[in-house]
Amino acid sequence: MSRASLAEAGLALTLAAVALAMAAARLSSPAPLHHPGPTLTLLHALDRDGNGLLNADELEGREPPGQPWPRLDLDGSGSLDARELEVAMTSLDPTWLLRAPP
Amino acid sequence: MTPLLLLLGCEPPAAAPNILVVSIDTLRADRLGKLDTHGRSLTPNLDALAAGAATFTAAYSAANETLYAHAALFTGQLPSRLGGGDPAHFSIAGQPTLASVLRGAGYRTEAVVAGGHLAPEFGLGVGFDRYASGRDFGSFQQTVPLAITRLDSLGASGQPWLLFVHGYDVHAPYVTGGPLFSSETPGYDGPLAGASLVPWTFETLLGDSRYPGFTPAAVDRSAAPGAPDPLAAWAAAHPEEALPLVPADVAFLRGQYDAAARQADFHVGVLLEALHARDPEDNTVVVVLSDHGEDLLDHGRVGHRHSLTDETLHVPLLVRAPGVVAGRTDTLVSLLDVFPTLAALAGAPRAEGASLFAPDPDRSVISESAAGERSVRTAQGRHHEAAP
Repeated sequence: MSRASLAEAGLALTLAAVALAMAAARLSSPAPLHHPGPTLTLLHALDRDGNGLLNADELEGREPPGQPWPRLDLDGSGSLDARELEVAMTSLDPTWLLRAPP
Repeated sequence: MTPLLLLLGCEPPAAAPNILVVSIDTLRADRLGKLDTHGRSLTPNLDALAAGAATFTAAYSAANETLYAHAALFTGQLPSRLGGGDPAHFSIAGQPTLASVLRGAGYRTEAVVAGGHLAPEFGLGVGFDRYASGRDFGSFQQTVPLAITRLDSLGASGQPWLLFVHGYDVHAPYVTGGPLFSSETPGYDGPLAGASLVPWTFETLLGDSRYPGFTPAAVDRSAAPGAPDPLAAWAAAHPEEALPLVPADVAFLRGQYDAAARQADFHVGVLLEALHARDPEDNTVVVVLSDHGEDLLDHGRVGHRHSLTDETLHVPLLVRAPGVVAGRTDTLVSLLDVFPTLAALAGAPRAEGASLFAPDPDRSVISESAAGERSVRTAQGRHHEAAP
């Protein structure tokens, strides 16, 4: 293989690696927040242990009727990240508790 | 309190500015910047706005309930001058309003409100080119997204604009705290935790007791100072029904209110962030206020229509505008002043009334109830006048 071919192959490998890294980064990054300022501000205000996530105690302190936690914890991780908090605040009907079973 | 620091020298801008007015229904002034038990503000987004705004720390509403307070806000007139005390004749029709005066000055005027006493049938849409009313007693969660879409339409209109946005997040039953629910009082598991899911629970609280047998049908929603109090009468006749409240119950009640304030702050933050994305230079005049406050058992009751105390009338008032120096003023002002102040900022014909930017230390501020009673506040104090 000529030196030029080796260089071309190296460049191709480098470009492929960069493309793979970018794709991996896209896959591993959470979806961007629609309202980053208010969402991260609220997360910070409620995040009492400072780990960047909200657990059930930090958000509610207890399980109110209707067992809402599964409705908020979309990925079932046991805590809410910023994206899940944003979804809860902007799409969960804020009067849903009124319709919760007694 | 910090003495008058503020502003003055506020010159009308060369071009008529866009104006956003946000009304957070029922938000007490003392919740602005209130710290939770972990030392974090309930209203970080409003705090950020306040950092660049004129903050009026002694602002009072002209009325203790939503319809009359907003009518006074829109017209700069006391409810009694609008037929207050007689719901059949109460109307702002024929009055110059903030929206009509600005429309006359070339503005596009729109409102996105959350129903209740701001629903179109109550007649407050006078002067608005578009008056959209969301779900009854709804949240900013419904009105803010619509308002954001209107920002785009208004921006494309080529006209200066006025946009009024309203939400009931902080209004009883406070469980509109939604996902936040009892986040301010974690661990509470007392009787109000379940009872608070019933919207009228808070109307069954009197003094240090709850009277669950007092039904909504018995609630006189027009109760005003001096008027017969149906709950008090019922409670006196049914002492065996009293369920004593302990401090944890009261803390839960107030915690739910605070959680609702936190929720409202989030949504107002969403709106302000959307505005900033469209107006990075912050040239839009932004006014954030509340129409009235709330008695949270401070005087033995929950609600606002029964009382003309500071708890029900002292409201937040923030004004951010180009040329207005940020700071605090502790001089008494009224929400009646918002109309003439904004008319002047817009370069519209001068409206009757006082300007927020020319505070008078000898000012008297009058507030009225739906039943026609009134309170008068001065720098020296407050006195109360019964209805004729």
